Amino acid sequence: MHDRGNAGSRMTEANWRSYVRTNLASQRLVPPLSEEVIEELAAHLHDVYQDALRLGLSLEIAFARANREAADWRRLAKSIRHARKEEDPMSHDAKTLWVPGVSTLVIASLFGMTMTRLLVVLWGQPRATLLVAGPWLCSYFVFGALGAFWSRRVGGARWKRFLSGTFPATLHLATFLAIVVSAVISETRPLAFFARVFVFWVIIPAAALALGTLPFLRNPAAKAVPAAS
Amino acid sequence: MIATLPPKMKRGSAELAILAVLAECPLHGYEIARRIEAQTGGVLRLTLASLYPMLYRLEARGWIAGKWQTQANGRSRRAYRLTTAGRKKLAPLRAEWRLFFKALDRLAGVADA
Repeated sequence: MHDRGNAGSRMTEANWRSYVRTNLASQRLVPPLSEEVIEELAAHLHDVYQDALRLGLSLEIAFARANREAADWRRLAKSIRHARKEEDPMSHDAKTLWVPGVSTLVIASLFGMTMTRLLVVLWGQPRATLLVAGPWLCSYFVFGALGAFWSRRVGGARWKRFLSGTFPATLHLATFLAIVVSAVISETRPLAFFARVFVFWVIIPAAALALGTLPFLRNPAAKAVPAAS
Repeated sequence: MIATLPPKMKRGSAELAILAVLAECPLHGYEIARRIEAQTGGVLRLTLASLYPMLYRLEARGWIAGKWQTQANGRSRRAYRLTTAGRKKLAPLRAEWRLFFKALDRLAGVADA
């Protein structure tokens, strides 16, 4: 469905958005394509149109030239829908945030359990806590880096890389909350105790994880995007 | 696009073209199409209908990543960049196509003889 009435007047980017929305809506896709897709397609058509006008073509010919880009709206809508699902059983969020984040959490937990066993074995020896806590804390730099690297590798945005790397901190936070709840129910502890536990059990490990993510928060090919002429 | 190529080849050549131009710098959709057309002397031309399904497919695979950016002229455009996974995929893709064209070249040489 093409609205030929648009051809006679100068099209703005907002006009193109409405034009794309109307043409895609007429395909009755359930669920409809996202606003982000509509905006991107409209921007492309607007650029084609503007280039045509810059070449000195009339409004009608410029409109026709832009309109030719879409060719068949039904086919285009279906191709986009198909492309977004194809070869991607997982959503982008799952691939770039949940899988790297949860995997890092599992690996860090397994390592933590091993270190706890080691602490039990070494218990009673001088500096046993330091011998265990030192390498355990250092491992958090590595786990933070692992989560962020994994997410970046599959195209995760910067915030997703950060969250993937710091994901094991959620386990610490959950444990801390469990300690707080059990303490409230069964015993009275001074506030300083909770503050100390919070710093040593949540803040310091989270900071180590966050530091580990830093080298992977930069984009490898971050260059300026040229403006459309 | 080259009308006579079978769909799989069309898709393969378009994938290579998109990854290759994005290896140079991040670009938005229209710029990708223009650059491919310019660099192939107009032989390979991607329209809106052929470009965006391909971009979304490559993004779903994690080879490219799109991000909205505001340009100097105030317009918002979704710029695509090659991810690490995409960069790794580009080298074998180039090698496959080089091999393919060498094979065709050898075949054409035999036919001409």
